[in-house]
Amino acid sequence: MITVKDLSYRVSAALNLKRLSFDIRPGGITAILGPNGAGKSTLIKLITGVLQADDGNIFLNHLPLTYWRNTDGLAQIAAVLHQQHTLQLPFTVKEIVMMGRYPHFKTRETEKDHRIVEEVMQQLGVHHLSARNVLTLSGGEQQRVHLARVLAQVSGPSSGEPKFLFMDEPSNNLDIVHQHTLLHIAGSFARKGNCVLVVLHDLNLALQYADNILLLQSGSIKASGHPETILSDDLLSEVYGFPLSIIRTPHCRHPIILAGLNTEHQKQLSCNHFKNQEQCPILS
Amino acid sequence: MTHKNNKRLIAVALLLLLLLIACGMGIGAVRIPPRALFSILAKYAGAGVASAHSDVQESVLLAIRMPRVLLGVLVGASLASAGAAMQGLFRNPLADPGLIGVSSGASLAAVVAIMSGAHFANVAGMSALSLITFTGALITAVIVYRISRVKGKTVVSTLLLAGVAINALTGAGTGMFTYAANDAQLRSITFWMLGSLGGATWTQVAGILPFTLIPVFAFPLMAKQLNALSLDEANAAHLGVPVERVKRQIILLSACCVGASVSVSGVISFVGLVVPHIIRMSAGPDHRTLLILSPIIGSALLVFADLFARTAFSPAELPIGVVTALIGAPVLLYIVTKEIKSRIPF
Repeated sequence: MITVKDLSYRVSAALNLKRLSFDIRPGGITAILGPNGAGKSTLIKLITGVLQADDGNIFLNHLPLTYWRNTDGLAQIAAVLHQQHTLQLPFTVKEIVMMGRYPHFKTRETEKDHRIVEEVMQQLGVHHLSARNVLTLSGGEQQRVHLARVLAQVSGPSSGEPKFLFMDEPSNNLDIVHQHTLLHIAGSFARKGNCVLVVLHDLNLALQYADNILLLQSGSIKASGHPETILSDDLLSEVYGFPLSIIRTPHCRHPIILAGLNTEHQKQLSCNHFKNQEQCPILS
Repeated sequence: MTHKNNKRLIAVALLLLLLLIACGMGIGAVRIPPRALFSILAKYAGAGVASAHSDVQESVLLAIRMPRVLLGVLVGASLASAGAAMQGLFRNPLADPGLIGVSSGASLAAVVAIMSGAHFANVAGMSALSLITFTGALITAVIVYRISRVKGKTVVSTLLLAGVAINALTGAGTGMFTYAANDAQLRSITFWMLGSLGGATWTQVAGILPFTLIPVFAFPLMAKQLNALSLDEANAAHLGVPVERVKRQIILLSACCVGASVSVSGVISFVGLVVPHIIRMSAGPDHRTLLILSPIIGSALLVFADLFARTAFSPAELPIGVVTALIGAPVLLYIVTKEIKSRIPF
């Protein structure tokens, strides 16, 4: 359970997170959506304690973040994947994934840690790379290694309390198979009674897998709730500043979002996004 | 699998170190063969072994060789451990204990001591030069650390830049004093700058023992944290590492053991930089192995370098910093070119 109350944070003159409040209940994937610069990564960083809010409160399992910061217990139930990986040392794939188990053992890993690491490496298709130097892998392979690391961190038996998985654009660099594998794994993790909060850029992935959506625009929540009930052509076109249409077809359980199908109304909405109408890419 | 291999590596490294210590104690103007060495040690251990050594051998070993070799062990272990820990903390394989200003601060203090003639004095058996340089090393490290603190956090890039700036500043100070020095002082300064284990005493060994041993044994306790830090600070924090505390401890412990080393041996370059690289080549980057192997290999390298320094052109003695640079620089070049090749796929 994540509770955010009146959260404010000033990034720059152009971007302020203004009194955000929302609850994220365990049991499903919550996707944060929004255009570049809407404050998605900042929000993840605030909730995971990388940045400190100017005002407001964040509670994880009903305990304030400040409480969690002073214990080492948080690392055992919450894992975070950031956008950039800046590793310089030539660790092997398995050594990196094993780092996800660090909060669970003192100095040497146990049999159980090895078993969990092997398992997540299988799931993300990096098992055959296990002895390779991470620095020599492709971008997508490295991304999968770090995903395996954060999954390893929150795998294993639960104490009954919800665990947390935070991911900032985890599908970066991933091919289609692995994008879907990833969200599938995240979904089954969530359904065991855990919270998954993920920043996504691909609206179709969000529609297909997310149980809950937070749509951000310039630091405010524009809409939140179940994707199929809150998302509309007009809302999306306005927030993203580009004509977006939600299409339902009989072949597909989920609606599909297509970009660039211009109706006059959508054009107008998209251009409302820009203060100076001449900046609108659709009119030019 | 790798775990077992690393245990074997540690055993081999320890054997190598013991062998080099025996060589370091035995080889020189007065030769002390292994049998005599053993006999002297047995005598002091109280074992009733038939004496196989002369009085000269005994006094040379106890008064000269042993403190010198032990000093080499302590200094080598300190420099290599601190180098490995610093490289882990800065997430940069080019980091070296000198970066936080320890060596340059110590140099400035040493030059001031030499110029003022204070280095002839003794305080409780420790030479004043050692005490002054140790203080200088700690003061500069604290200054660099204080500058890098922003809103209660240590900003590593600021720490590096502050280190560079303070190094330049103390370098300028050292240069100014050197310029004003007379010939005798100049000679002392130059020799101090190049490093030497000559004239080692038991007092020195005892003096730096706590300052070097505590960090060398404490670093491996932080190995897991340093591994996590190699991801980056935010990720390490998500893995439960108390990042600020670890940073503070590593900087403090490094300043302590490097400062103590520099104060008795002068500036010995390249050990802190090269030794961790050599180990990563064979044992991988895991700090749990690296921080145990580094002090062993560092000691071995320094004992060997010192042996070479005093025997190669005997009776003349090379400055040990020259020898470590002569060994270290080519090894580093080899590693760097090889590493670059391994990082570029295909």
